[in-house]
Amino acid sequence: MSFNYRMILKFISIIPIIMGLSMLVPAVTALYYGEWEEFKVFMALAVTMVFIAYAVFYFLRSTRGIIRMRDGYLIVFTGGLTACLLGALPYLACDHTISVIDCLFESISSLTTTGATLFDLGVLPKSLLLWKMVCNWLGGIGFLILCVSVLPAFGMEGKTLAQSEVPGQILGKITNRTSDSAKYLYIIYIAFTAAEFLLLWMGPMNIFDALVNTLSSVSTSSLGDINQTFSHYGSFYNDVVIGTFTLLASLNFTLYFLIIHGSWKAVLTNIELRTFLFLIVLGAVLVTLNLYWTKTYDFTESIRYGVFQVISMATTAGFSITGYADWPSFSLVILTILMLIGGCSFSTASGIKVIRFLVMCKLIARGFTRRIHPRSVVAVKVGSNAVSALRVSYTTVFIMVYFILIVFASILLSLQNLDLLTTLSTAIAMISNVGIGFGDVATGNFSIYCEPLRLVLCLLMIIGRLELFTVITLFMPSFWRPDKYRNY
Amino acid sequence: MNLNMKAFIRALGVLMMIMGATMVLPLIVSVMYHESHTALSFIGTIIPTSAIGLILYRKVIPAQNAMTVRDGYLTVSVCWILASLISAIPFVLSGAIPNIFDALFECSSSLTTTGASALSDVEGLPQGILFWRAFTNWLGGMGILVFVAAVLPSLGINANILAATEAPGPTMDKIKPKISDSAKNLYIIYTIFTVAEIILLMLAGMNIFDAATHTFGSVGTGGFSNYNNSIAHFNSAPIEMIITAFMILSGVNFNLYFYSFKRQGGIRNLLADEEFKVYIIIIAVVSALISVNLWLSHTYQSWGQAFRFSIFQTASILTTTGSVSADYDFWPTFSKMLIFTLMFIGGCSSSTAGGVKVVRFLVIFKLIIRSIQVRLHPNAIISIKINDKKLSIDTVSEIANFMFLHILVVAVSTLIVSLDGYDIITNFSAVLTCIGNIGPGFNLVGPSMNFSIFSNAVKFLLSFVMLAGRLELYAFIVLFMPRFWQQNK
Repeated sequence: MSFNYRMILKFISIIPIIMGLSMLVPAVTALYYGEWEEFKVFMALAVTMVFIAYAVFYFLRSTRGIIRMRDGYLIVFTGGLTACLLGALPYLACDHTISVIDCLFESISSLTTTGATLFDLGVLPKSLLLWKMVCNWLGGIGFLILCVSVLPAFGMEGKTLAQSEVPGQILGKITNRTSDSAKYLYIIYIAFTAAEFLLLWMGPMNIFDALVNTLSSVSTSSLGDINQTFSHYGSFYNDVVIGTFTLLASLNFTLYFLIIHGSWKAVLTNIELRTFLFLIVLGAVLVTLNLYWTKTYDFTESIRYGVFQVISMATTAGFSITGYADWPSFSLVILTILMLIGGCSFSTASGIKVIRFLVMCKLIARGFTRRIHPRSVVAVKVGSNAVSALRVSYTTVFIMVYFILIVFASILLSLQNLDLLTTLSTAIAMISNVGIGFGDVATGNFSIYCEPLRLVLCLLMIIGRLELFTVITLFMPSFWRPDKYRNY
Repeated sequence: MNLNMKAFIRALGVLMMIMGATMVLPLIVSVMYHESHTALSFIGTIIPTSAIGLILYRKVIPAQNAMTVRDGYLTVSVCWILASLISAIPFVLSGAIPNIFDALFECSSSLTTTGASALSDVEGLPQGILFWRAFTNWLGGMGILVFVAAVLPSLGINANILAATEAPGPTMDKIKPKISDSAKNLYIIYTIFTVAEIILLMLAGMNIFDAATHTFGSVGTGGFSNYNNSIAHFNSAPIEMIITAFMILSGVNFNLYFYSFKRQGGIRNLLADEEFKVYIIIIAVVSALISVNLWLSHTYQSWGQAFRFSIFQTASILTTTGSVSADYDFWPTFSKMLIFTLMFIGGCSSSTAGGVKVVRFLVIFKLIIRSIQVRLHPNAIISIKINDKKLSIDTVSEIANFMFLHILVVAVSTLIVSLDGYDIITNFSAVLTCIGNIGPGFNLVGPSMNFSIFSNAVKFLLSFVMLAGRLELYAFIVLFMPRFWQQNK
């Protein structure tokens, strides 16, 4: 049994077309700001990519062959890889750096909506900066596609769990085909982008800054330390707008359908949404009080910075307030926990996801019930629906792999000989796609790592974004020769 | 179904008598060293404790001996809390540790074989107190109630449930005719190890007092030493190697030793065990990596020294002993990170070691492999096997639940501990080292530091975390659930 290479290639040839077309945005920017070198690069790349990819797409005849699950894994992985490689081309061609690994890192970090960087964003040409943000945005929407159309086919539990909560008949009324419902998702995503852009533009920002911030927040990627990169951003209005839209982008997108169709009740009783909001409110209150009591800020500043930072970490965006890494450790532990839990399923946020965290809590509770009443049979319920044993075991394994990966990654990263806090928080920041850590990486700049370890960081970001198993499966020998099945 | 309160109280009585009896040993030691004040404080503890214990044992006769699982949790958890409190009394009475929270921390630390100390200077303590501190390490290593089950099978209390609750671990092996028998066997092996190590250490040049206390610390995987800088005080390679060997031996499933003697196949029972193999591989790989790292980074002058310190620290942390012969907090980050990782793992099941246990990680690892296989081949039916025995789905899910609870408890405790305002690594490693019953952590609670920096409230919390970790979380935490106390409908 071999792979359906023809179909895989056809799928993948769509990616350069999209990337090529979106390169026109930074090209226009380059033209506007008079960055001729960058303008030429972007135009040349855009034209070549679109032309070649379209040729492949057009001349490659689609075969009748079915796409198996194994083909799907390969499509997702090679597709992601292609996008990352293409995204790295402009940095390399613009002579901003000579290191291929750095360019790759930059591209992967934006496409996985991590938002980490190796460059000094303040001196990066405007068109390249915008390209990074466009990649963020593409990464966000790409992940939504993955959630809606691809991952369910692999038996990834996130979506199915989320959907078991969304009443089926209501969704059915809107659409009865996945591709249609996917279309609604993109429209909502684009609508958010437009709305945030307009709001920021009306505020104190100029059009370029507004665009940069919009693209990075609606995809929960962030720019890292915004105050350091753009000193004039310390405005309360901007914080509120950016915070709100990051939060919106990290909620389950299917809920917006329900809102459009007026079924508020289903939205308000959604258990994942409730838990997520509860966690954020609890985290924000605790951090605010902690900041106030330790006299880090005065009361209003405590609220403003506390809430903003909690939202930024919980949604795995990773905007940071200058000096947040020096906050009292109680706040930092809360932020770390939120970072690990991450956003809702079916959103642009990353991390373990609230729904899995919920299942984990239910499992712990069931463990207690079992011990008090050893002969009882209790189903794991999320909301009012029982979760099947298979899904529970997938969730269990997911969380375990998540933590095991963090530990292994930290061991690898510790070869850099930075302190433990920096090492551990880098691993967490990468795998949960937050993009900022503590210690030496609090600004979201990871250039302290040497080149081979930068590759490790890249891999971690991809693994984290593609929900672990899509990547890990590829490393299983039995994936490549499935007919010789061996029982482990 | 109600809780069998009378059997519970009677068990407490037995525990108090035993604690009273074991205190005779440190009493003898303090008399030998002419420490009259310390001796008095031991006498002052022994008499009331034993008296109350005897009264409870005599007067409270349960209507039925049967204990349910719930009774087991209640009895075992309360017994451990009570044992910590009783063993703290001499510390306070003798004035060695005036602060009651410090004393409680010290005693739960020694009984749970953690070996974390809230004292900045132990060398000034009276010998009797030092001996008591080490002896509770030994007592806690195999478990107090296992001791009850082993020594006094005819108490009139059904001790099976108690022993099973105290040394839970995933039960891979159901071939235990009677808990009291197997408990007796465990204690026999335990005693053999203890005697052997005392003799060897004395041959290596220790005096009998040091040999005894350090043996109690290493066989019980507790790690209390009567010197401020632990094993590094002796600075002797032979002593370190002897202690390393016994730490590793104590981290192995004790049942396997017994099988090696009594069952067909002899020593193969031990060597073919999957958990044992993984345990040895972890020690070998990690100590090799650390020695290479130490050598390449020129932390120590010679290759031999790098190896000597790396294997001692690796064995010490993995078996959750926590004795140190070198301050690993000054090692390169790679080595530190490996030590950190070992803190999560812990020893084998049914050993004196604490922690999550190797076998659980083995099961989780197999679960992960299986889940990938199932994704690729959705119709395949694959079971998880350990030592060629299929594990039931309940066992696997219980192990997963345990891991989750572990993560949750660590997260919540770290959050509370960080209210004291120290850095994250200090807080995190303090909780990790307490829940895994290890001893030293990193930064401010590193090998050359101690827990005296924390506030009383945090010390109190950490004492509970140690007890919860020793009883493998569920047995202890279940008491705090309101449902536990509700009557069955």
